[in-house]
Amino acid sequence: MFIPIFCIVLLSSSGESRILDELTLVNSIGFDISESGDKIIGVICNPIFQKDAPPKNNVLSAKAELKKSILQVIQEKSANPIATGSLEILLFGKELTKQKGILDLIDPFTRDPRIGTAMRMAIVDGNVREFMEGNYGVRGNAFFIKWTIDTAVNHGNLPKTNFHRFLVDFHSRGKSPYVPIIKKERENKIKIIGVGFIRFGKLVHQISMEEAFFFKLLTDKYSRGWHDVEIDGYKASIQNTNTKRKFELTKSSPPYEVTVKIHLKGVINEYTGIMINNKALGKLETKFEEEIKKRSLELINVFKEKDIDPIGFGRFIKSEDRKFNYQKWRDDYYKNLTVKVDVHVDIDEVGIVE
Amino acid sequence: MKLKIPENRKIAPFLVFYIITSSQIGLGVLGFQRIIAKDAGTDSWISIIIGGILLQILMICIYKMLNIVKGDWYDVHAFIFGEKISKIFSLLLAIYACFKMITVLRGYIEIVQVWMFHTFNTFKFGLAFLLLSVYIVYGGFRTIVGINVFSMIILFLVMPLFLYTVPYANPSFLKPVFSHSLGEIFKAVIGISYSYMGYEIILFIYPFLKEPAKSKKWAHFALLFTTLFYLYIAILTFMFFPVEAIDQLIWASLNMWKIIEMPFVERFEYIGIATWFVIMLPKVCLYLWISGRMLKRSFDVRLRTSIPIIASLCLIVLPFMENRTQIHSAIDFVSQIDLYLTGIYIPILFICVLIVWKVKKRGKTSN
Repeated sequence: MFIPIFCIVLLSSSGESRILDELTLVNSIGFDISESGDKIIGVICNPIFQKDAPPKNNVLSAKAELKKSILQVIQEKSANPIATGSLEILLFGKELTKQKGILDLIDPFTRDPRIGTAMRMAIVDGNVREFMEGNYGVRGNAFFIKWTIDTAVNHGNLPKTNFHRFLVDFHSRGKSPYVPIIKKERENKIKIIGVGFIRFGKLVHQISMEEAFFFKLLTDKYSRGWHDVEIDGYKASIQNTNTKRKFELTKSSPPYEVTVKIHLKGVINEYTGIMINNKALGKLETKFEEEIKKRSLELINVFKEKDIDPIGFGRFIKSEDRKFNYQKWRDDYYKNLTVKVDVHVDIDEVGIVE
Repeated sequence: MKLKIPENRKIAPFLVFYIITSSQIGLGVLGFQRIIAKDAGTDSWISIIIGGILLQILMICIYKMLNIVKGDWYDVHAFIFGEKISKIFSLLLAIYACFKMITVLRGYIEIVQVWMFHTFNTFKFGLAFLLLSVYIVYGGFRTIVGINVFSMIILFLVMPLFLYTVPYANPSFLKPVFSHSLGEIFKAVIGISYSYMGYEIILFIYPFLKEPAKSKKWAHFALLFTTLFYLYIAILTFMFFPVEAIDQLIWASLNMWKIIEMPFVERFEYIGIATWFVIMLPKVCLYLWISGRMLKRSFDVRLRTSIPIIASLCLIVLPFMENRTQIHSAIDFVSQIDLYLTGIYIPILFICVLIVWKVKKRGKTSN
């Protein structure tokens, strides 16, 4: 009897106590570059919970020399200790990502055991502090941004993304990471405006959400999204309900050749023409197939030009070819890679009217 | 000198399954991926299977050996070298068990310090942990077995949590299969030997089994379970992280829990690590018991006197390992001993026992 009680007393004193009400629970962190370009601005946002009202978004920011811990500087401005365990959002300013790169800034987030890897990561087009000072949604900014990204992934054209996926792409050879780009529209509105591609920690290329539809088809194994197709002067809005993508290595020695097989299933959500009959539908499918093929190849060519591989051809070939040489792939083989896109579009339903 | 164990202190044969699995699965699970991937990359799951098969063969040898000797490790030594030398060997085994206990305990405290509380006090926690262990060991061997069973039930509950990584799993990370040479794969077998350690417990508990012959299948079944468990974790890890990243992850299994998002728990690792305490507990108890038992066999010291002394000695040593390098060199040292025990010592012992047995038998028949 004595021993258990003694253990309880003993253990209750062997750690530090942290009381929830006395912590600054940060749920989003952003980084930006100062106007002079030599300092990094760190911004944190923590919700202050109120009675019968949405949480107030308390934004703190601090300037620090490059490569110095910004959290420490912010800590000096905050009355309560900063806790990062519930971090949901990690933001980087677009200018910062372009000029300085984000590699050094990411390291502490991979090292800290208290940070979850399921958090969302995004690049902000514009001033990060201004972006975080907005008031979005009813559960605070972090959740609003998180849900916006999640919705775009689950129902829109944004390929699957979070911090873990970023790190996997970043670490694995033969795939470059990508990050969604968001922008503040109004005081209470944000918008995902595209996907940014990172090479050695720096933003090197950016595509719009319309192009992201094709990128998502190429990069995600299963994807959904929206796209408009024009046919005979009429417009049809096609919702991609289920797409399967498969890579096949059709030539397994350099110069490599990869065939991307895409099987898209969709429904028509909107059609400006009068009637959809089988003939029109068939025409629509062929048109869509051609468009996917053309636009995907364009996208791949741009990636090659920028020397990034966000689709992961390198990683795919590495897993298929035992003699794969990464260095040569980087220098030479990727530029000479032939990609064939094999698309099959099935439009099953046209809605509840013909 | 053979000790007779009273019938009411013996255990049912199927409990061997829980004893072996719970003493094998512990600290190693949390970070073995990096060690095996260093040599064989994603092919190291093959090494896990090879290691498991080798262990099964070793278990056959151990059972054969114990069947001949009809006793524990002390009796095995006594059978070959005689009582006097056996006493020295048993003392060494007791020290080995202490070492094992210290590294297990310190390794766990390190995890708590890194992942949860940076100011966590090694001495205080060690004191509480060892007090609890002494308390359990005082309850007798059957109480320790009870804790073993309990910890395995907790492990069964923790196991599915690794499945949270499945939506992120990338099967192509495992390809191409067999891209490493046989030499590299065998190097990884050596790397996993620390995580497989714990099967040798059977050499200590054998006299406590009610029907030793019946326990054999449970021992093999336990090894199979551990092999499959490591395989399960390894394959999930290798599909979750690219092999380039695993190299940097000290506790890859804990890193996998970072992906878990729950509305009511922000950081799941905290719960996971706290639960892991229950999985570590029987290991410490068993090794404490072993060192006491070996002292009892060789010097006839009562467990009631020896256990508190051993525990307090370990407690004094515990805070001296201060940082990561020291802890990891201690763990490396113990895993070296483990490797020699598994790979060289036990097989040699087996051969020796066979030879002595044959010689003794011939002596008997010629008389």
